[in-house]
Amino acid sequence: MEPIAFGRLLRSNTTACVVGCSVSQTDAPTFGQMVRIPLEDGVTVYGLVYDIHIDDDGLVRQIVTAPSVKPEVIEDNRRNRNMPVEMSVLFIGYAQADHFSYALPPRPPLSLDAIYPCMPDEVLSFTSLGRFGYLRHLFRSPDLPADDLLAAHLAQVQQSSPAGLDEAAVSEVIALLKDDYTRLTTVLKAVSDVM
Amino acid sequence: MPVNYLALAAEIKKLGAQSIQRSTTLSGKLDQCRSLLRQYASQVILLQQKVEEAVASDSGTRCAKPCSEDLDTHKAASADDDLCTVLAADGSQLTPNPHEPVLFGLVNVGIFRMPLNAGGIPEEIIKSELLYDEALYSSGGLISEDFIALRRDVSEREIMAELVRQERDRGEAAPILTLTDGPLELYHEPRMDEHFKVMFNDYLAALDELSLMRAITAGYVDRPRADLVVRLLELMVPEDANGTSAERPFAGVTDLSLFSDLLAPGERSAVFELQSSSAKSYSGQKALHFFYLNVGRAEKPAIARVEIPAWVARDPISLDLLQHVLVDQAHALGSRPYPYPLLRAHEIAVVKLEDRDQLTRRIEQELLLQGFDPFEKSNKESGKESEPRTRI
Repeated sequence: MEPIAFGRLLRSNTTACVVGCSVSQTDAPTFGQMVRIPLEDGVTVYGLVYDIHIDDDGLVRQIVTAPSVKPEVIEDNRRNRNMPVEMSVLFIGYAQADHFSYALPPRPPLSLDAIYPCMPDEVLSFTSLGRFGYLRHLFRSPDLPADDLLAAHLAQVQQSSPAGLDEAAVSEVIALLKDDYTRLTTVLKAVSDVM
Repeated sequence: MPVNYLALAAEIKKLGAQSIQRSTTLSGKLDQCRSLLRQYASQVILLQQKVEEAVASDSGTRCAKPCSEDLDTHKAASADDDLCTVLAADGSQLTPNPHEPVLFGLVNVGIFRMPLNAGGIPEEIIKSELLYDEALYSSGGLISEDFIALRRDVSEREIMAELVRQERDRGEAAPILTLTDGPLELYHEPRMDEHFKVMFNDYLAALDELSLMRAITAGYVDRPRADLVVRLLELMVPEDANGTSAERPFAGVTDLSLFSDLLAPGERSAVFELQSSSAKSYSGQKALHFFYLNVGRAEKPAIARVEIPAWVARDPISLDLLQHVLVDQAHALGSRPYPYPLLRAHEIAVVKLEDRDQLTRRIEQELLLQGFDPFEKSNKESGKESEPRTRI
């Protein structure tokens, strides 16, 4: 069954994008989940959800002061009011004409491009390409929660991939962080929680 | 410096000093009002006669007229969380501005539909009406801000009637409440204008339709400044030894201060009929009534005036449900109690500056496509919008 788009792009740059989706959607992706954004020129951009952000406003702040909140008020705020959940997605590669690349996409997606969750077969196709070279994108920025993002991503890989693939991922992490022992220790500790 | 603060400093000092004095005076008057209220609380017939005498000598008399409940009535709602639908409407408008590049007006009505206790999802409805060409002019020239506000109020009421009709056509049997912000009584000028009369009749027709469909209709006035009950009590002030009485012995005292102590949280006052010069326009089932309602907490009362037509005032079940829903929905906003559906209707309806700019651009584009020359703001408007002075 074709997955349903859970949101649309709000803004993007070369390395990442922010997607807006309705708060009520229960099937919205989770932290670390792999997602894809098909572009009009046949390129599909792949990424990981690394931040989920829910904004407030004056009315919501006022409602939380009420002793109890009625179900109608909750539904109204989640479905009708213009307050999307914002998800930040880190690009980890792209596909073009059935060929996967772990490089950054040639151009970022445009406003209102739809974003879809990756199915297990897509995760497997993307991750089994090489030696998890795309993991370098996770360690590029010090602002990213790289340890937990990696752990969450590997948990998804584990569910979608044959045994042994996650070990290849850990080997790639060790190679990437071989000169930063302190960080490597922290990352491996986070990964050990899910593997 | 936009304001001469130096010159105003002395005035502000004086304002503060006078406020203390005024507060003391008002406190004394308020005590007298409360005393009269207690004294005549159950003498409803006598009070009605006094109002009728006052109207006979001055048809412009504006005050509260008691119906059947005692003046000091304070009653909690007994309704349960029954199925009902709330339709709340609010409007905003853009007044045509001759200094803008294109001349147009806009009436925007936001409706918030909230099914209560049915597990349904609230809906937002928006109705926008663009005013141009002939619609921008009345007998006095370009339509005024007050005139377009009248158009907004009439639209609100007509849309409410239309939506209630749709609900009934769909077989909705549960009570329907229609709420608007502000009084039901229209205040707009010029009342002698032919266009005003036409629109006023449309407003009354919409009220008639709501009456036929038994919609529980109410206008909610937050923090009311009215003194209708105080004016009623003034009619009961004894004359002095010379047989005369001061014209407004309790001037400055508001009904809000009078009822703040009387009404516990969730309680309403007695229902009064509104005696005013325009009362005869709202005849029969449309006759305007009101009550005061405390939607606040024990430590912080929040008094609202709720205007209702006769068909609601005379139906105890509708009245009770209205009171229950208003209190319940006001509590949804926590520390700032105000009916949630009305706040949402306002949020839907409000036209922001960027909406005006966007609409102006779209109209300009259309006119350019039709072969008109580019449009410009007036020189005055352009001057006002020029870069502000940043240093002397």
